[in-house]
Amino acid sequence: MNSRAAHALRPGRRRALGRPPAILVAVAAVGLVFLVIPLVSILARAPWHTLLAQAGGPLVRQALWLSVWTSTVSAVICVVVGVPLAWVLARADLPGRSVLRAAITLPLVLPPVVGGIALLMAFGRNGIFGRYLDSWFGYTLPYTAAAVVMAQTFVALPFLVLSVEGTLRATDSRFDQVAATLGSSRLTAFRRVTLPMIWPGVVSGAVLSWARALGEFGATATFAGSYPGTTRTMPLQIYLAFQSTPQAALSLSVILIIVSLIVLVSLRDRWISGVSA
Amino acid sequence: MLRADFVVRRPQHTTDIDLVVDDGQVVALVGPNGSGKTTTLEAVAGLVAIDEGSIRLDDDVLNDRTVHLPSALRRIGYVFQDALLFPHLSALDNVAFGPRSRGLSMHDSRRRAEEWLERLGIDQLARRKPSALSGGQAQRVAIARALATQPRALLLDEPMSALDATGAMHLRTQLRTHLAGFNGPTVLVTHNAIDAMVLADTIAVLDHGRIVQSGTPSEVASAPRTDHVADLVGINLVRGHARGTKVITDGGAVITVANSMTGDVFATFRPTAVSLYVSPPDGSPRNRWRCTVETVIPHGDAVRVRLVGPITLVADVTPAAVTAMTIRPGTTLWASVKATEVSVYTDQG
Repeated sequence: MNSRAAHALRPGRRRALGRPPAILVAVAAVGLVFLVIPLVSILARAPWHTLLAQAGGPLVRQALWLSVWTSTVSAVICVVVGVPLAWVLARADLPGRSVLRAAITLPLVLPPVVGGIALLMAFGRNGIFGRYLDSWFGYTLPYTAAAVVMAQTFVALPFLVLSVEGTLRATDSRFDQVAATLGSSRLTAFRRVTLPMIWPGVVSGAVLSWARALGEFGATATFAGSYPGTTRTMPLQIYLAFQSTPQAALSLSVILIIVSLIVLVSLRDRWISGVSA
Repeated sequence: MLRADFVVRRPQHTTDIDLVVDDGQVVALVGPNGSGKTTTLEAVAGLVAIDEGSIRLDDDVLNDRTVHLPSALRRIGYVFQDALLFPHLSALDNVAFGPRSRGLSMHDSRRRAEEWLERLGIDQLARRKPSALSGGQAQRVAIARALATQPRALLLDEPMSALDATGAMHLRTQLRTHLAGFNGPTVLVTHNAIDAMVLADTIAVLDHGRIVQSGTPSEVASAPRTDHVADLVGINLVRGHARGTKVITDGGAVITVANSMTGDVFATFRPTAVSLYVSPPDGSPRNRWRCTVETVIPHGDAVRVRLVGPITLVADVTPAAVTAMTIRPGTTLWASVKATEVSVYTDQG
């Protein structure tokens, strides 16, 4: 409803305020060109006639499917774990909140390879927790699809938490008080009031974290390795191809770009705009 | 019965309140911003914890040194200043939220919500989202939402403040009906003299976190303790029946007014609009009544005189006038008000 009101206002407001400042438009154009030129170049150089054949290859199909399903699982885990985490950060009175936030943001600034090493130290065969997994259950995480999901979740979670926390902060916390005076527990208030109100933020956070998981390379390579079918995701497949046959890497890149675009555009139309309208 | 005797300490201000509200009684809390009105409501509702004292409802302790019953378990209805309807729920589901939270099924909650929307005359708005409601409609939904939980006590925080004059008038009249039908204690925070006069049995004046004066509206209006109170409750309010530009009061007096109206009304005018004379004044559009002075109480630069006659009213006059006309209890005087100084509001729900 709000966004509809904003749409109705927009033409009049634009006219009333005059043209957008030339300097802002010019700098925005520079930024846009910088983002678009490499993408256009990759599309321009792509061997389109062999693309379909490439996409149909078993290795590529395996990698693409692995990438899509692990990213989706990662995004789901991010939502399930990340929304409560964001809520605690934004709404609960807890000491050392700024330290906690810094810790959550850390995977954003670390090189993903470092994230992969950290995961190995924790959950590797000799890791602090991993050794018990091995000795008690005979289970080793690294070099499995589960490790791929973990590596992707590790780097993608901050995107969701920050996005949802921002939405929570922009939402009036007095609605929690209203819900309380109406007799609802804090959990019920979260489920029936807070969650519906922050849903657009959750969806866009989920899309962001899915996209981040899909593009994940360093942590996956370090913690999960590169086994065809089980851990070799598209980014790994592309890098591998680039070492031997750059033309093939080019085709794979185009395939990944197209899949990402399809998913992002369809999510935008179906979910995000659907929620805000 | 609500007994609130507590202290809430904040870095900038302390609220130290001792308030008793009987079942069916409406107490209006008035006072300047930051005087502790909202803090008092929040403490009673359990939205802030008290530092000393206790809050009791009937025989139950809601809050004291050892007990802090969560808001959700207090069963106290709270109407917030800006309605605060849940934006993602329809009017109906906003009202059904409380019953649903208290364990009713979805179907029964909605049915009870429908009943309350109907009682407030807004059942046709049931499916609307809050963004498609006017301020007055939203506040009605908020009142229905608070009452639908069948609360043991009702708290209203400036329910009319966001409305224009006409909207406030209609809501006030309606609220009066519903407060009369509510059996628990009610506390109303307001900035508006007419709200306090029309809706409350008792006015409690807060200043710097304490109740500095309390009494019936006419007691407080006759003997305001401070200038702020004098200004806040400085309104004469007479109920009557309007026929054209005449209002016939319940006591049989006639007030001439500027605007033509029909039906049950209340007429209001400020104490400063009342002129006092020793002999009958002239002038055609004037209302004049022979009255006897009951009390003479100075406040700030003015003196508030309470007079009894065909109608009971208060007037603000200068100390010089008091001396010149030898105004004291028992003096007989003529009180006069211009028709254009009298505002008339409908009193029909």
